[in-house]
Amino acid sequence: MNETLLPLAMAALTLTGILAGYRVGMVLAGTASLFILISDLPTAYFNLLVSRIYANVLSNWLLVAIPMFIFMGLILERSGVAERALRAAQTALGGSAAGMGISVLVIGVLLAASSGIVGASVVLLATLALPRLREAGYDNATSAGLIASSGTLAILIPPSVMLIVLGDQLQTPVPDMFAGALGPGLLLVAAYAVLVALRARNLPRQARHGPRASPVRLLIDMGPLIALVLCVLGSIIAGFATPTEASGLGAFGAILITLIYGRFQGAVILDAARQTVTTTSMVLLVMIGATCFAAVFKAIGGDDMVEAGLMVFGDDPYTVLVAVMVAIFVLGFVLDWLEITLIFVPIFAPIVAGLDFGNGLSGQALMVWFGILIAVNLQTSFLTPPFGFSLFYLRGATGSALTTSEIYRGVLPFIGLQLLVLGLLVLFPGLITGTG
Amino acid sequence: MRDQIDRASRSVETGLSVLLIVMMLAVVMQVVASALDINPLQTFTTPLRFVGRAITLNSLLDMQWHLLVIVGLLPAGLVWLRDAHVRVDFLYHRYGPRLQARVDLIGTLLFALPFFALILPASWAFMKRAWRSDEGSRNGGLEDLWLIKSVLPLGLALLALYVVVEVARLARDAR
Repeated sequence: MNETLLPLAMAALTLTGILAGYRVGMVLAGTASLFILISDLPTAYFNLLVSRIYANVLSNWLLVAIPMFIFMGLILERSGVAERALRAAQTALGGSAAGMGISVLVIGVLLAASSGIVGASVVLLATLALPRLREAGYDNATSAGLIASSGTLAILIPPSVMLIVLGDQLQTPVPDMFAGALGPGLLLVAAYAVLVALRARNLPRQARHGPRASPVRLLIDMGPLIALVLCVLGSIIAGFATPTEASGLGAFGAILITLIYGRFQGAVILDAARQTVTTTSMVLLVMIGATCFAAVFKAIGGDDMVEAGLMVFGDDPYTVLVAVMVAIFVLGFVLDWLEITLIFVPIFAPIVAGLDFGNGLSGQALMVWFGILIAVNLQTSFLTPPFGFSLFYLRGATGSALTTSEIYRGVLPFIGLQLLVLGLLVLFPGLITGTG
Repeated sequence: MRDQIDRASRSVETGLSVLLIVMMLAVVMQVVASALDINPLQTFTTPLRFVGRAITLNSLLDMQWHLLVIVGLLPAGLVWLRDAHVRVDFLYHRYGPRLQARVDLIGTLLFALPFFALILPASWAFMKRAWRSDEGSRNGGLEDLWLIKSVLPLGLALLALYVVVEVARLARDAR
């Protein structure tokens, strides 16, 4: 077959299989196998793939952090520790309409930094906050947008599984990725807060529910969780602990917190462990498939094809970057962050690594910048209708309380803010790298 | 029969969940030991199976990713049977049961079949190589690298088994 036709056929078959709804990991692994047979690659090439699966996926100590962080989040969520902190934050901040809106954001950040599971965050926020937001006078669309976006912060704000996988693919240190995501995360929160404050301006100041919470009560309800988050995140960013070490300690700390609150139940921990095992296996199969796919796609010249495709708009670095970002944004309409990170990032990364943006970034710093841009971009795809994940969770959690069109209308301004922040991050890399 | 499979799957899952908790404890132990500067944790005059002459920090490090391999690969088949592997389902969930079965059947023939045809022999050979050399850790960790390399063909074979089990159901539903 023709040299450019082969990778094109491979990409087309993969996308067809994935969109038809077959298991993604198997589509990737199967396409790789088929194209080893079709192309002039020797069948023995598969021995190389097995070695690569073993070296990159299985014997990768960094990846131990993925089940550990998932486990930590599930323990905090299922034992009710997270909910307890959330209720406390709500009582503390819910004195005014704007305060009630901001409390949702604060809770979103707290959930993001402790559990980092988007589905769980959105569902928890929807259950806890939607009725309160309505009482405060927010319209349904604004409430929906605020809940979905606050919950989606979970995927961006460290410790986040997405940043670990991205760091692994880009070969950048995960602590740098975590540190790099802090600024953009806070910037997004600030942007959301401004939007909430503007919306709340015309809402009446409402009566408070019950008495104001005492500071001691607040400390008891939120203190342990905040301490855990600061320890886990702080030790990674300060370099005291590797992400894997911090993740294991974090899960252990989460169990200790359930003990402190007297909420420790062996059955709950085991249930969280069981769910973690399932999720780990899901992630691993996609990783194995993507490893096969990436190697074969490259071997038959796919990366050259993609590079040529990205350069059709010109070879100016910023044009290429915009092309990459638009491609990821569009792919995000139909694919998950995991597939995009594992399939496309290895193809895009070497292209971007070879560019000079004239912003003083090179080597590792350039890859961290690029990685965080991708992270914010992928985070946005959770919010974009019609297939944004967060929107499904929100719809599922609220039943008939919100209509689909209210949810879609509600997230639009937040998507606008996401793109605005993404633009700022492109123009001012210092927001990520922390240098002027 | 179905009940027995369900019960067996359930206990395998529980076992793996316990291993996950062991993985967490291995991380905690490693951090504590390295903070207190205890290394090796335990030495033996005669080399033991799996651990060799000493339990070191590297033994604990190795143990963590070995457990990850076990916890991640062995349940792949169970997760398959429960249909929990990642799908992009915005079209799929709108299909009727018959179309879903057809898509899955075609997918299995087109993707899973060639994959297993290639990877089962390749991972078997990979395991045999490790067995022949009685491969152990290169950095003073655990001595069971040959064992952990066996988990790859084992996990994939189990997965293949569950895929075959599913095909029987799909063939019925696709009609």
